Amino acid sequence: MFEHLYIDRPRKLVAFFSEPVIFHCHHYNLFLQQTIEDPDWIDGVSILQTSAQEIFYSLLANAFKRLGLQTAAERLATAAHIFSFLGFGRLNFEVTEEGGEVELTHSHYAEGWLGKYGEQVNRTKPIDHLAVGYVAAALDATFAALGTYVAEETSCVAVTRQDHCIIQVTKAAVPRSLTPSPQMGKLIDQPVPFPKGDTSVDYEAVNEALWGLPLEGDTNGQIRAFNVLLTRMPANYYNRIQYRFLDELQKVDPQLLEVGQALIRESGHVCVFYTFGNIMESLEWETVVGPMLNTDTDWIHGGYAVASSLGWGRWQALEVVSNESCRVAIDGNYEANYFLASYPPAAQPACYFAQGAVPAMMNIVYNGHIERKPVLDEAFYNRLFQRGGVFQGVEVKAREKGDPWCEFYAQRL
Amino acid sequence: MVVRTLKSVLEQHIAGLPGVLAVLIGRMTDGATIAEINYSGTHLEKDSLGSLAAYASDLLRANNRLCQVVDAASEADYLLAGSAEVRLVIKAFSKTPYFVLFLTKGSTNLKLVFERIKAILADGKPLLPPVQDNTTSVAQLLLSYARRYAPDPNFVALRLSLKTGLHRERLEKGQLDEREVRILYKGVADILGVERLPIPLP
Repeated sequence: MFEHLYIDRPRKLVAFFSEPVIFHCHHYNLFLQQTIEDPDWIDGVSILQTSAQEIFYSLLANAFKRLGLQTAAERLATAAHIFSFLGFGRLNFEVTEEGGEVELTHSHYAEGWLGKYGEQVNRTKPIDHLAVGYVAAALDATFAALGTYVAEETSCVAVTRQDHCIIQVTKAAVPRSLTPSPQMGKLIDQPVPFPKGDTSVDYEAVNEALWGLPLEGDTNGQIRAFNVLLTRMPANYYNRIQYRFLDELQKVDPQLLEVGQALIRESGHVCVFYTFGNIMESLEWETVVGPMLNTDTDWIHGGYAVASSLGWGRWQALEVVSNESCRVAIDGNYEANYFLASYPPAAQPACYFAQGAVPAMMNIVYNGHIERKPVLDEAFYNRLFQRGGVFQGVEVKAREKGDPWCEFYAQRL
Repeated sequence: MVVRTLKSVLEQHIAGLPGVLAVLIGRMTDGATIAEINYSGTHLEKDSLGSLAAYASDLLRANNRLCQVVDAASEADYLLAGSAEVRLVIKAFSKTPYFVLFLTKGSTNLKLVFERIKAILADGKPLLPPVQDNTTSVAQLLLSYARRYAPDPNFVALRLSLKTGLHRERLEKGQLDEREVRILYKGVADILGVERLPIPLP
């Protein structure tokens, strides 16, 4: 499947069958999903499942068309292959045009949840909302059109702690009117020539090295790298669940909108802490970025060089003041690309993931002292916050509001 | 004239006992620390010592319930916990919500620890603060319990606010009516994946 990945080098985006795809780890995926499924007063599960159905339908329909797949067997086999390639686990379709049963093994979400929370808490409800949407999308794209099928997880490993999950899929009584993906969204025309920060880190060299890493699902359909479970996720799945969730909060209880925004920012913090923390402790970091690190501020630049290799757009630290603050530009951020293709210009900055990720990079370097290779567990993460002096960030320029690019500033509280 | 305090009682009775890392008097009803001495240097930060009292409270409550099940007539004995390296010994002041906790090295003579605790229980009891009802609201107890046992404790208040629809400020201050407390109870139980919590509803 690697041959179907297209790297847009100037914009630092990666496309897979016309969908922007980005790397994120199970810590981020679980935290974001948990935030959306938590409120009992909105239907968060439906947001997650429907968004997956919409976004993956676009991806799979494009894949089937481009690969010239005609038969149902070919299409379903390819759908299962793509699911595994992206790191979500393994699907075994036992279906006809009328529907059927799908077995899910090595589920990214279920196994990720068990690894992260399984010893601490019980789970009573299924977790594989993305897979449920994916299965419905696979049948939509194989047999019919978007919104034809509905799926439901009837047995989940995160609940049963057995070896596989079961997803039932049937034709909807009435086809649902769903919204396909905006694909690459509103792209930047030309990359902005940002001044090179005061650093010896060569962003482009890091990009090329990381773009060449063979990160794909293994025989279990999992991407185990950097001590986390990675997924190569369609960016628009994150975008759609995030913005739809906030739209719903705004509609039902606007006073809780800020709480939802804060938790999405926190998911960005969680992502940088675990994914980047583990990357910064990896052999790959030592090999690729390590030789470029002369000062502590280079660690921040190194982090953004990696960030811009993950399909997130052009992330560039403009100014880093050691242990004090940083200013970061993102030109063509995946959140803004989606937002501008889906909504009118924003009244307020809306790149919530990046708002959490930028201060997190300062926290992991200056509060977490990542250069000393601490054990990146929950206890360590919690201590970071309890000690105080954490960095907080704000989006000072927002492309989604009309600025030419997005810019973030982080400093200590 | 020297005024005796709970802290001075603790100091008096731990003098000369090798391997003591920390000693405290805590309150079971809300996990608060009433008096403490920390000899562990950097081993235990202030926050960690505070959480020690809270977790000890949970252990004591669970042990009291166990005792009621197996032998309702007798009082709970010394409670031992910890690891091979570090040992916790906890004993409640009789018929009060207060308790003494010793944190020692694993090698510390347990018999000596029991003797010192016995002395503290005798000398400290007259100095215990009066027990006040409703020192902490049930809502605050629930929130505090969630912070101890739920994942991502720094964000659990935000999560509960979103989950329950209860606004964060009122949640943090514990200013909830009975119906809202029940909603919060269910929210905490859901997050932990359990049906019952060891905190009675009003």
